[in-house]
Amino acid sequence: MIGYRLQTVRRVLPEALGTVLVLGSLGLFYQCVVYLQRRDYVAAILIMFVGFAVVRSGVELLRSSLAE
Amino acid sequence: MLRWRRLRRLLPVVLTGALGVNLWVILICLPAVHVGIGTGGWILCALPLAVLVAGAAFTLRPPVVQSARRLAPPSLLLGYPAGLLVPLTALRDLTGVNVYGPGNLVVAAAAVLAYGAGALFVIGRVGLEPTPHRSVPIQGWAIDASATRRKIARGIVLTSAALVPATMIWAAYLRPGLAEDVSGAYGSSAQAATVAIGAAALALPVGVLLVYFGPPLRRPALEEPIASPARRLRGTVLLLALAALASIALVWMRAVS
Repeated sequence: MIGYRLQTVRRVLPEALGTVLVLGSLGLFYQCVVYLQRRDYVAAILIMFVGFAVVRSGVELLRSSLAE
Repeated sequence: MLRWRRLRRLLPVVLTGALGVNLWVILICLPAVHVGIGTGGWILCALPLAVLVAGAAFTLRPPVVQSARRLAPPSLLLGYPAGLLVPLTALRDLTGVNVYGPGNLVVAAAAVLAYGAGALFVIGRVGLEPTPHRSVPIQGWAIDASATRRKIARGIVLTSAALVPATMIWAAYLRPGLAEDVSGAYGSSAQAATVAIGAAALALPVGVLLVYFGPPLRRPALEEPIASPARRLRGTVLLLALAALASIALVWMRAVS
């Protein structure tokens, strides 16, 4: 029973984490545009870079489920 | 039967064309009519339509030219949206005029999303080879667990892919406090800044869709080399490490200023 639950958690965790990361990246991209509108270019570039890293990580986690 | 086949062949072209023309009418044609531009302006405004027609023609099955099928994704997802920005950037009046209220802006945003979704759907179908008809054995009625999971993951990726441009459009054009921020930061050149930031905000999701969301949704061609999972993981870890450094730099900047 515990083994089955562990297996389920192991299966669901990457998908949940991937979804959270991808949705989190939306906030970062939103903030990037807001920084551009406030003429804060350096902060916009930095946060866009963080957004790219987060969205890539999220998609990589979801990719494992897509490939099965 | 022959008519149905012909219709099926033309369906992607009609779908892409209709959604693309709808977007052109909302973003360019209506403001142009409202402002009243000259013949030269209309020629410039018609420029993106040429890219749309070419891109839609590339989706024809069987292809008119064998190698043209590869040109469909860049023309529809990159060429046409970039082409739409040309008249909007060149003719400043088009973006300066208040044709739309907040409600209509939401319709315009929906048109952008509908075009993106339609183009992705058509390109996805064009990329697939026709599959032979097959029968399902009776034990196959039980839905495979991994197939369900795959379907859920695909749904998540597709929804996220649609949310990225929606968020960008909201941030660039609709968010509360936008006008104060831009006029406070850019002063007299606020209008030009809005156009430039809007262009950047539309280009960013196109890049994200092509680079991050496109590859996992696309079925890889047989001859296409696939990067090993270990190599991809190394790349992701490196990118996350650099992102952590960027975050530290951002926090440090905020602390200093």
